[in-house]
Amino acid sequence: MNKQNCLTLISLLAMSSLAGGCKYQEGLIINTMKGTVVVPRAAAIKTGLDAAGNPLSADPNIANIGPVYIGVFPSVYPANVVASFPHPEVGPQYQDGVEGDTYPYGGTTVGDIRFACFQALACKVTSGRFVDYDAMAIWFNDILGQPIVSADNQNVTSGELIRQTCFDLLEVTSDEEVRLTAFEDRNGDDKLNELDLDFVENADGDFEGEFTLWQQDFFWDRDEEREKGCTPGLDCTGFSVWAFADQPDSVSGRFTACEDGSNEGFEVEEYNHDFFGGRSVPDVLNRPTQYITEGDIVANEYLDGGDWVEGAYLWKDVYDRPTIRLGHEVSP
Amino acid sequence: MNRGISLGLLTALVIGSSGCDYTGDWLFAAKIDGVPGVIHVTPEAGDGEYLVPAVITSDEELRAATIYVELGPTGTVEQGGATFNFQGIGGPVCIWADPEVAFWSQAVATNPDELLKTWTYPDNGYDDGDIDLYAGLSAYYTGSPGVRVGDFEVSYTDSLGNPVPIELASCTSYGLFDQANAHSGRGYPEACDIDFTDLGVSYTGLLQSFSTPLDDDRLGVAFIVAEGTCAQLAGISSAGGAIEEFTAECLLMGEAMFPNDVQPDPGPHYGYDSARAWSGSEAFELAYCQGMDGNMKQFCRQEAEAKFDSGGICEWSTLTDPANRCFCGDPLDTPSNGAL
Repeated sequence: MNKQNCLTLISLLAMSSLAGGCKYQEGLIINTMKGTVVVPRAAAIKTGLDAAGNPLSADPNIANIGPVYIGVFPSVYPANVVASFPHPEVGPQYQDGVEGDTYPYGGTTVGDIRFACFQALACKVTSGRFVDYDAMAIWFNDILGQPIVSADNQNVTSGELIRQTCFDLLEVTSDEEVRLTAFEDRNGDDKLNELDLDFVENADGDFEGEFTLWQQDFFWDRDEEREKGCTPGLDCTGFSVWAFADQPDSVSGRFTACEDGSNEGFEVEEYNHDFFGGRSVPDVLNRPTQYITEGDIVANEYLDGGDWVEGAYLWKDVYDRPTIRLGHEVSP
Repeated sequence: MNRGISLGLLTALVIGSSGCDYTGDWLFAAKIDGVPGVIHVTPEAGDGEYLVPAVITSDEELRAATIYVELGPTGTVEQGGATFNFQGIGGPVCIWADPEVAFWSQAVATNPDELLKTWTYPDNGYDDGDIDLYAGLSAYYTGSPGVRVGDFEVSYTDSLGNPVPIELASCTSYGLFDQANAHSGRGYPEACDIDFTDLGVSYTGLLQSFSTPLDDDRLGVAFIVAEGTCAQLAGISSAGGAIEEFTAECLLMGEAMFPNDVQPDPGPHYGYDSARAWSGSEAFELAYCQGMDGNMKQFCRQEAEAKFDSGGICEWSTLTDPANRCFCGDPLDTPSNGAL
C-alpha cells in the first residue's frame, strides 16, 4: 500500500468512526426468559359427581387446570395486604370505583383460551390440556356432564367430529393449526401423548409446565444499583414473578378471565354456525382481582436450592430459570 | 494529495462534531407569520377565563357556540395545537372538533360494497389537516397554554424506582370506525364525552395539530364544548350532520377558512360566519355528507368544469393563488377498484 492509499484509508477510518457519533447504547436488557410453574396435584382433580351421579375419579386430569397467567411486577405483596391472596403491587387509584393498575412489566401464559369450534365450549377450553379430541369429548360429556352440543342441537360424542368441525370452521388441515390437542412431540419420544402437553406430572405427583417470557425487558432496583454498584441482569434485585391459574367454574366450567363468548373472540358466521369463541380479557394481569375467584390458585412459593420458600421469586440473573408454585387456593 | 487528506479529515471532523447535536427543525414546515402554532382560546372579551359548555338544542345554538381557530406549524419539531379551559358542570360534557376539510382515502377495496362505491371520487389530498382531541382535568395537563402543547400524562414511580407514565385524559375519543381510544384520520372530526365533570373543577381541552394541510400549512378548526353527550347532538345541524360515519363532517360547517395573507387573523372567531369559509368548501362538505346518493363524482366533475369554464385552473399540491384551490382532485385520477 502506497503512502497516499494509506493516508486515505486512515482518513476514511476517522470519518467512519466519527460519523458513528449517534451510536447510542440504550442500556436495555432484553432476554427471552424461562421458568417452571408447578401446580399442586389437587388442582388437577375434579371433585363431585359425574353425569350419572357417581363420584368422580380421584385420578388427576390436567384438563382441570385452567390457563395459567404469569406476570413480572415491581413487587408482590403477601396474602391479606392487597387481597386475600398474594397480589402484585398496585399503582395509584385515581378514579372512584376503579382499582389501581398493577403495571406489569410483561407476562405470558401456560395454555391459553382457545377457540374450541362449538358455541357450547366457548370460554371453557385451554390449549395444551387434551391429548386428542376424544379426550375433549370425554371430559365435557362424561366427566363434567356438560354435553357438547352441535349447531344442529345434537350431542357431539365423537372426537373426530370435533376435529373435522374445527378444520371446517377454521379452514385448516392440521391439529397444529388448531392447537387444541397435543400436536408436537415435545419430549422427543416419537409419540404424541400426555407427556407432550403443557403440564406433566413430576416426581412429587404435582404437575409442572415451562413458561417463556419472550423478549422480556428486564427491570431492576435502581436504588440498589446506585448504592451498591450491583450489575443489572446479573445480581441486582429484579422484578418479581407472580402467577395464577384461572380454574374452571365448578358449575359452568367457564373461565372467569374470558370475555363473554356472546360477542368477543373469533367469530363464526357460516351456514348454521353463528357465534363468538370468546377470548382472554386484555387486562388480566393489570387488574387481577377482577378475575380471581374462589377455587383459583395463586403463586405463593418458589424453589430455592431444593427448598420451597414462601414469597415471590425475585429475578436477578436473566439466565436463571426459577420454579414457582401455585400453592395458595383462593377461598370464598 | 495533502490537500485531499486534509479535506477528508476536515469532513470527518465536521460530521463527527455534528453528532446527534441537531434539532431536526429543518424537517418541519416553517412558521407562518400571523398564524400561531400554539394558541389558547378564551371566551370572548370580558367573559373570564373559562369557556362555558353550551346548551345546544337547535341549529342556531350550535352555530352560535362554534369557535373557529386557525393553526400554523410551530416551526420546530414540537407539536402545536389549541387549548381551552372550562369548568365542570356536574354532568357530562361533549367536545367536538372538526379540522378542514373532509376525510377520504384514495385506497379502495378491490371489491367495494355499494356504499363504498359511491365514495370512489378523486380527493384532493393536500387540503386536509389532522386534529387529535384530548381532554382532562387541568391539574394533570402538562403544557403551558399558548406557549407549548403538553399532554395528560403523569409519572408514577414503582417500587423498583422505574417511572411509569400514566395517561390521565378523561375523555375517550373514538376513531373513524368507532374504535375506542383511537383518533380519527386526516380531515375527519373527533369527538369525546367526559362522562361526568365535577362541578366547578377546571378541565382542559387540547386540539393537537397532528398535521397541517400540505398546500398552505394553515389548519382551520371548528370546535364546540357542549353540555351533555355528543350523541345528543345528532340531527341538530341543518346541514344534516350527525354522529354517524361520513355525515359527522356536517355537524360543524365552515372550518376551512379563506386565508387572509395581508392581515392574518387566526382567531379565535366566535360563531359561524359563512363569509369566513373558503369558497366551495361548504358545498364540498355538503356533497360529502350526502354521498349516499353517489353524487361526489358528479360534484367533482362539476367543480372541474366550473373552473375550466371560468378560465381558471385547479391547483392541489401548491397554491399560487388560493382562489385556485379545488376540493376534489383531478377527475382523471378517480380511483378504481383496488387502487392505493
